[in-house]
Amino acid sequence: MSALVEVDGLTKHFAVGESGLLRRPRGLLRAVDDVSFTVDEGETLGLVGESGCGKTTVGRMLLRLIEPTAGKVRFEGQDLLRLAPDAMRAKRRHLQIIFQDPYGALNPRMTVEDIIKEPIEIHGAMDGRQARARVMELLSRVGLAPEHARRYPHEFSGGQRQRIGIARALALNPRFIVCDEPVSALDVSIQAQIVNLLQDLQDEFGLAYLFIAHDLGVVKHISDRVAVMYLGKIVELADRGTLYRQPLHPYTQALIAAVPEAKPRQRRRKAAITGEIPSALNPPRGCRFHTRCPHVMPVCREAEPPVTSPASGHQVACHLFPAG
Amino acid sequence: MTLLSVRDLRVLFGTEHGEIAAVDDVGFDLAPGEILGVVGESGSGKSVTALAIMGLLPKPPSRIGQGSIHFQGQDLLQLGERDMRRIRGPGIGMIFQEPMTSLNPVFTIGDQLMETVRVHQHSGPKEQRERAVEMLARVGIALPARRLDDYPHQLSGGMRQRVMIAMALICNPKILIADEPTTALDVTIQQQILELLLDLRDELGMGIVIITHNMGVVAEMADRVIVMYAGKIVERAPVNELFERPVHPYTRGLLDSIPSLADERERLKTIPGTLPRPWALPAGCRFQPRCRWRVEACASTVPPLGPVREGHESACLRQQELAAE
Repeated sequence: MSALVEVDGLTKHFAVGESGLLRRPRGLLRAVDDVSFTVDEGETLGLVGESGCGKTTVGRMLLRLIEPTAGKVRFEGQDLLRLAPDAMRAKRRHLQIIFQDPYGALNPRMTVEDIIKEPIEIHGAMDGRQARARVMELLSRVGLAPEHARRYPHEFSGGQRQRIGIARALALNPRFIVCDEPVSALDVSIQAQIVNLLQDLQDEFGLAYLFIAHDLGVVKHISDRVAVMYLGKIVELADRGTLYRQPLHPYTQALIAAVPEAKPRQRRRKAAITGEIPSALNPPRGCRFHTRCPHVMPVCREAEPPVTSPASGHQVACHLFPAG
Repeated sequence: MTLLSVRDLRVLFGTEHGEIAAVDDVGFDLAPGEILGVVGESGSGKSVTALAIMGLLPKPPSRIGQGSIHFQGQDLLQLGERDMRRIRGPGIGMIFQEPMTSLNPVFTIGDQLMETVRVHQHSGPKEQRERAVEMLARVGIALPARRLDDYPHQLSGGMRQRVMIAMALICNPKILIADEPTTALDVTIQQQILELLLDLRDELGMGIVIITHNMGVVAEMADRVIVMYAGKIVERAPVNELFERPVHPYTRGLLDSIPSLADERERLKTIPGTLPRPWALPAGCRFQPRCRWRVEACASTVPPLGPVREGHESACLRQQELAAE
């Protein structure tokens, strides 16, 4: 059986800093470079990495909110990048997105009812009465009350606004949702409510998620498999148990070691990995992590590491794990 | 020996909903070389407490309702702005979550560091420059002499945070107040900054108040911890005690709701409900509408902060039961 979403060689380069008479770009920002993964039906793939690693750009390219420079995105076997705009719009009912910032993502001049109803109306999916009933059903499903329908976004707390965003994403019964940092702007005591809600909805509706976040604890909790990105590349991908117990890539190891754990008795002074995250405008040649890697070898400065699979279902791009 | 002593602090803000207490009856001590963690979510009053210590609250809309903040034998709340300016820097330094808000974008890093030295130490330009370079090197900035001519926007987020730490420490303060110092940073950079703060504490012996919403950061850094909710301290304990035997239902809820790297739970435990709005605080215990231990008295009685065990205090009517569990 093929995967619900298949991403192959996805790449996005942005031309930046146009200058001079001929408006020639001064540089190429390699935001995402040759990224491949799959997401199965009903599965959650976590996508983690630090700022500027390209994880948000990947999420947006899957829905063609950003057009890729190269690569393929297949949804149920069909290449989305080759669809005409009309056909893509029709497809979008199956692919939705939830944003980090529940404040910025909701139109402040629309009532909650209109916000949730908008995608239904755009797709002409129901008549007015049905649409209204659907809004009420969705509100209750995400833990809001019927009387919330007539209110405006500013009247809600951050967690409630995220619930509104989730209800809107669910309106057309999608099969796949890109969750882009959906809990990172929320208070700690509210995060767990939203994480649990997303898990309940997945079980109930058989949703598949691409869960993008920088919080390794949240990603571990919610994901079946996890991909780690660094400077536009996936450096490692494995099922979550393997990735957190036996990370192979030195960057994954550093990332996991850097998470402050809520266990004061186990604390010890750690040797932090040194250096800043380089700019994607001018990424290091060879392996992009070599400038900060504690295991750097001469080959790492010269050649990009190939993606190898040291164990079934476990991919890594590091010269410590050569092919064969 | 106590370096800083905050007592019965109450900070009020005038709002369209009337006057509200953003900080209510907060008190704590800080010893030299000690790290005090202050944990809380939005509206807990943790940042307002820090700004009150620094004398940086805008008045109006805010005013100090009651309390004292003693530092080196003086009550900072009784000092005027001129005297407070002498305390900020050599006495108490502060760093913020977003370094761009406290660095001036139109001056170079060097100008800003040297200005701080000039104001407080009355030294000549050559010594100011040397001190600035020394401090940048100390916070882990490579090629510090060359960085002096950079503007803040030319630096990465992690570098800016280092510059801000350098600026806060350049006058050798006795106390550093760090308000969410790593919240805007990536986790590998966060670790570098936390390690730097621990090194500087060991070396300079300053007391640190670290304010954060991140229980992991507190667990890695603090000696003692205060947990705040809706303007009040709900629990206070040494760090091991707080994490191993939390008593207050809010502290427990907070610890239970964090997905840790070690846990294998299928579902997270949650604290139901939402954080109260500051102008609509519940009567009695401010946490009671969200509390699974709630009894009738909770809605009418404000629970006092009282001892549960040696060095461990909590503000819950049912804390003896909870502690005995």
